[in-house]
Amino acid sequence: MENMNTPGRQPEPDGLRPETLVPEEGVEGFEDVNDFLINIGPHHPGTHGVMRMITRLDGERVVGLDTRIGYMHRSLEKIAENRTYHQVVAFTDRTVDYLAAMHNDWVYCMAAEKLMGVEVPERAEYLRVIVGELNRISSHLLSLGALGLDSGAMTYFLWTLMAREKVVGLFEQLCGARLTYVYMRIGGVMYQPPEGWVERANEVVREVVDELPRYRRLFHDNYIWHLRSKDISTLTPEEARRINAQGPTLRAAGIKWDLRKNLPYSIYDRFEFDIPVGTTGDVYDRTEVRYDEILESARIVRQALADIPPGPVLAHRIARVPSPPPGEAYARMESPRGEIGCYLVSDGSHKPYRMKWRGASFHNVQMLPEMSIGYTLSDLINIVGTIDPVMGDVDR
Amino acid sequence: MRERAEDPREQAEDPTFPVDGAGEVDHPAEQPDEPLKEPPPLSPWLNNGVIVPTQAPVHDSYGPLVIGPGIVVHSVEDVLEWVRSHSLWMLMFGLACCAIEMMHANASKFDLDRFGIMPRGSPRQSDLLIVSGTVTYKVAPMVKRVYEQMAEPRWVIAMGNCATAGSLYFHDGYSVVKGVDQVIPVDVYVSGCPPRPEALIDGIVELRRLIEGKPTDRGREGRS
Amino acid sequence: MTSDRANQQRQARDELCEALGVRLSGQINCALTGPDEVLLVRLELDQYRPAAETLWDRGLDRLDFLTCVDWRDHFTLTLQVYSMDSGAVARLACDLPRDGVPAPTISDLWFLANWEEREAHDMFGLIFEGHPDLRRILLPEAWEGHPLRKDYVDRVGIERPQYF
Repeated sequence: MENMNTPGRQPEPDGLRPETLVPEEGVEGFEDVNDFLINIGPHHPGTHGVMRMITRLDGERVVGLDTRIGYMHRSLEKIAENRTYHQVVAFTDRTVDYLAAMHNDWVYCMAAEKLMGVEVPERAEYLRVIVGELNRISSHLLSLGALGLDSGAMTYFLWTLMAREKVVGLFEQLCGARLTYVYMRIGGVMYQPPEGWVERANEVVREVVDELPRYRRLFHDNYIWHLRSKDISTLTPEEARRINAQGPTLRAAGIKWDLRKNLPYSIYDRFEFDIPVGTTGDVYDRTEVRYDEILESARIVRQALADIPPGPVLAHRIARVPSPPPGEAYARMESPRGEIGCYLVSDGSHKPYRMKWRGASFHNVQMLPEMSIGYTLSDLINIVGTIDPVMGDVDR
Repeated sequence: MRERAEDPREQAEDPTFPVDGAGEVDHPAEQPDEPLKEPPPLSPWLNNGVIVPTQAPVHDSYGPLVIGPGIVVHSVEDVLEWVRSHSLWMLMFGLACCAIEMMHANASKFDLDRFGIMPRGSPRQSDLLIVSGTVTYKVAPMVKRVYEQMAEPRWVIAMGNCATAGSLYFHDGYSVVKGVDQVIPVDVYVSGCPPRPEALIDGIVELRRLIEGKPTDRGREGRS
Repeated sequence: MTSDRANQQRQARDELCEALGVRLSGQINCALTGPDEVLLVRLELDQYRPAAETLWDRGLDRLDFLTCVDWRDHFTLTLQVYSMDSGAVARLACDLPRDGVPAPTISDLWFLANWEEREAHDMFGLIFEGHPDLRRILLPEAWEGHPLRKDYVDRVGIERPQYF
């Protein structure tokens, strides 16, 4: 089925080397396998973007997995070396994790603010927390819905997207965009919220939280979903630490680690919220962790909306083309997928000398073979769904 | 039913019966119909089984022609294009951020199903390829291959600025193809970063008008 | 709370500095990065792997990033790790000559370093000795050149006007 006449076809001199597909020490019970290779992707009906998984299957069981990425590599780090510090914000919210655009802008702005020594006003910090947590809610809604879609529960997908429309409508009133809001700036945020936005945000959060029991009845308490997700891809806490799991995957394995609580940044130490933790680390637990995180984010948003002080939203003395002193800075924070970070190196000029983006999904996808070998092919799709990779974050 | 004499020569003597050429077999269609004396017990809608044009058919008008109650005359191409444009099956081809807006367009609020658009998983079953997201050099052969696997007639919508022209990676993106029309032919470009679901719907309506050959909003006529 | 944590972190940093000094027999250059207050250790290439092993043994088992910065005449390989238990963060910066010299791999210690090193190889051309599977990860296999080097010639680039 190969079209050999396609110009521009990239040759693969390495081919498929077996040693990259099957772990060296073998998988117990599968020593004498009659296995075959199945190529999933890069285009597949999953909603997670272009990722190529070359699976070695024995019947239905996955015996080896090689993940090939790079199909969405959009040269963020090279581009950032050619833009001013303010212009990079337009790239960080769409080139990397576009479902958590506020978080990406936020971590870049935090790193740049560390470099330049800029103080962010109070109101801006509160607004950052509010939009960050709203973005977390909308990202988790989409990831749960996409998981339902991949598993065959299409109604759940439509329901969560309906709830997501409400949250996204809030963002539209605030900054004009539905998905890629260039809302954060170095030194604060861009716009004051319009009239009545705070009340409307409270309403929306209440509406979303009121919808959640319906989701529970439809999907999370569904017997079929329990069969498909319990004891699939379990992770013990030791294994989770060994593979450096992060985000909901780590918390589902039983380790209570969230950067907002353990290494707090911004003003998260003023809010009261819990960290939902799972027990077995399986697919069901990861979904439950995301579900509970929606509730916790709603708590944070309500507290922040109640306490938001008046004042300016952007620090005053930042140049239009800032030139920070030579140095380097790293900022990390908890995005809906894990820990993201931005490492900025400045040489004193008006452009970043080097921007390294630590993406959460890059590392989540790296852990995929460890988490899915031994389970079936249909479980692999669910596992990818719970890892929730966003290919922009994987490839940058 | 007409009663015929078995002997054609006897018919030739009858002046009420026009016969062209002796010995030739008459085809009933070449003979003018005799008006019937009394209305047969048929439906009143059928005008006694007689087709009477209500207006002279104009072949350069758009749309079907109703020439009688319950009777529509239309050209085959027009019917085909109408059917095709009203049931475009879309290939789920989400590359990047625009895919999220495409998903929103498929969902409940901006329903694409009311346009007859169903997302399909396989290129063999789809007519419409919505390229939503950035095309990189690594993924371009795959886009081309997927396009070639689609059966004709097929249409392509380039959704978003990245698929249109490369968007903000235009200058420095070394790995980005500046627009998907460098790889496959595109019918409709929808711009936006990402375009709102309403903008995508606007692009789809535009595509439907293109398929049907109607004048489009942008003033360009044509069939695909 | 904050001063407690700051004290704790300072203590952890001092301990790390000491342990590194012991392991590398004193020849290290420990500093705090200015705005970040992260322990930054400047090393030579042959001290890189022993320092990484020391950090691993002290419990800094989570990888933040591993990257390279191209300072036109040499590279700097930067690794940042932190610990979940104590919150200590350490950044190792190791200077490399531009071409040809392989760096030791640390993918047997930190699981996530595997793909990070592949990316550094892809973007900069760094070779990691002992890496199980060093091939291009983000770019097509047949791509020529390593894009994040400062001397990379972008053949598809279009001249961009300076807007300010």
